[in-house]
Amino acid sequence: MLAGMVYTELLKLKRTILPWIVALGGILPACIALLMVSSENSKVTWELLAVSSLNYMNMSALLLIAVFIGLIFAGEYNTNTISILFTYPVSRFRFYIGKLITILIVVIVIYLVLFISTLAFGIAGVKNFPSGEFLVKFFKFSLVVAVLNFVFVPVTVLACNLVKGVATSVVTGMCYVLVYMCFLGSDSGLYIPVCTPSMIISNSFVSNSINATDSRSIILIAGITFLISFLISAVNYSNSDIYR
Amino acid sequence: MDYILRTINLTKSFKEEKAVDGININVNKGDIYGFLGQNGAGKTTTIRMIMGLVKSTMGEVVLFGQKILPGENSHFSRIGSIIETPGFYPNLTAVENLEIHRRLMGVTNKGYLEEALEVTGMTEARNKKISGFSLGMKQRLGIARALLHKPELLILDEPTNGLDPVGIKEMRRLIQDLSARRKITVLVSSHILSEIQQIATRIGIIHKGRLLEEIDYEALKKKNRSYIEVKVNDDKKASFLLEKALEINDYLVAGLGLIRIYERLNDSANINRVLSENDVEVSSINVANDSLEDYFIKLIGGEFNVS
Repeated sequence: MLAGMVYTELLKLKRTILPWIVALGGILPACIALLMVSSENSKVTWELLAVSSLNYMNMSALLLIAVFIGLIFAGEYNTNTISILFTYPVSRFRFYIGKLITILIVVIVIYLVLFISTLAFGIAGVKNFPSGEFLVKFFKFSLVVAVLNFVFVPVTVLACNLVKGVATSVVTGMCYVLVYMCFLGSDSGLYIPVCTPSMIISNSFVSNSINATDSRSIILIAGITFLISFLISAVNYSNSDIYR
Repeated sequence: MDYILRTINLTKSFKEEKAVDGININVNKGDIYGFLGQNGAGKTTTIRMIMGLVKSTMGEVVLFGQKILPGENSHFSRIGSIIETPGFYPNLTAVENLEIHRRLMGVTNKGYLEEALEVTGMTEARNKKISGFSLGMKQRLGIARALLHKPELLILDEPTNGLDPVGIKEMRRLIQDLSARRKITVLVSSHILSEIQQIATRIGIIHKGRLLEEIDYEALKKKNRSYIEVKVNDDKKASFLLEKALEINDYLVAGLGLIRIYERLNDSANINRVLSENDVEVSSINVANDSLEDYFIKLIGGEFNVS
């Protein structure tokens, strides 16, 4: 049943801006990373390219994922399909989970596209093939960053459901970018969910300077952030009155 | 009574204001139930409570004989609905929208989708994107969606809103056809009296959140049919004469010396003559006709939209 719901969610995205979100999120950061790394360094390495690519992606993902969440959740209010959605013999919680899974799938797809496009641009820029060890590491980091980007999805969902408009997601995404820019260089940046992915990339991909205590703290904060926002958001989604 | 839908003391309050105030609706199996009320009377809020979209402050909804608990949704597979303007995914085609509905309703037979399109005359538009649809087409597709899973109860909230006269007529014909041929029970809300008058078998009148009256259409018609009103000095003797001398049995003594005769409306001169000849003093005699509109206006104490 859940698979069927995810299928219907994906079907709803047919002929939407989704391909653009995937392209912007997955290909553009890799392209910009290659250009920036090439202009700033005399020698382009796979590590430099991967770090740069993930960092550009992470910043744009804050906005792109928020826009996508708006499309999935608040879009139902804009088209007034919410009134029919909640009159199916399916619980609202299942719809909520189905939509979250769809978002997770798309986020992972964006990072996979980024992974592939970084390799494609890298072959042109670095002019050699990456090692197997690098590929595993890059792939692992891409997935970790994708999952960390998913941590604050319920917060955006809650905002969209409270205001019931797609524009809310854009505003929420911009707030994330603002927080990201304010705290990225600070000591606490590692523990602020919107900054965590970039901080991990910067501190761990090349130098591996994040110790076990930091890792536990990151997981704990990310977990608590997700869990609390998930619960509040799910309860709100399941119980809110639906008006036009 | 074989009730498909009942609401018991259904109430919705917003802070201090009651949008719906203790409504008791009773929809029998096979009814076309006209839910009539002015804009803002509380029709849509009531329907939203029935459909679980809005939580009631108080009261119960009983569907298919079962009390509906908060969050319960299994009964939705037996209901088709259009609430206000039907919403669709504008980027998808008609058939893609219905396909989503088919899957979420758990309908395995794909033939139902084609049948729904055919019944509503939407087959030709099946591959057109919703963004290019007129409001009338959306309403028809909304009906197709509501019918796709073969519901027992159809809930239509203002289904003719925004339709042109031809569209309104088509919608009316479709509702009557669904009720007659498929034996679907229909709850249809409207603020337009003439619309409800033409299709409903039972009418519920809501005003300022309160259900003022719930009545079978036939009983309502009887209540409001034309009659000869006679004012006499002796209503007992007049009644005797009506029955024995004129063989009139369908009459009502509406008050002291006031008789309403519901038959032989063209025979008032003869009635007057017979009564007078038998020493019954007739002070006035005239044909009166309370229209439904008059009735509703009296009921709600104001003007009613009859457009």
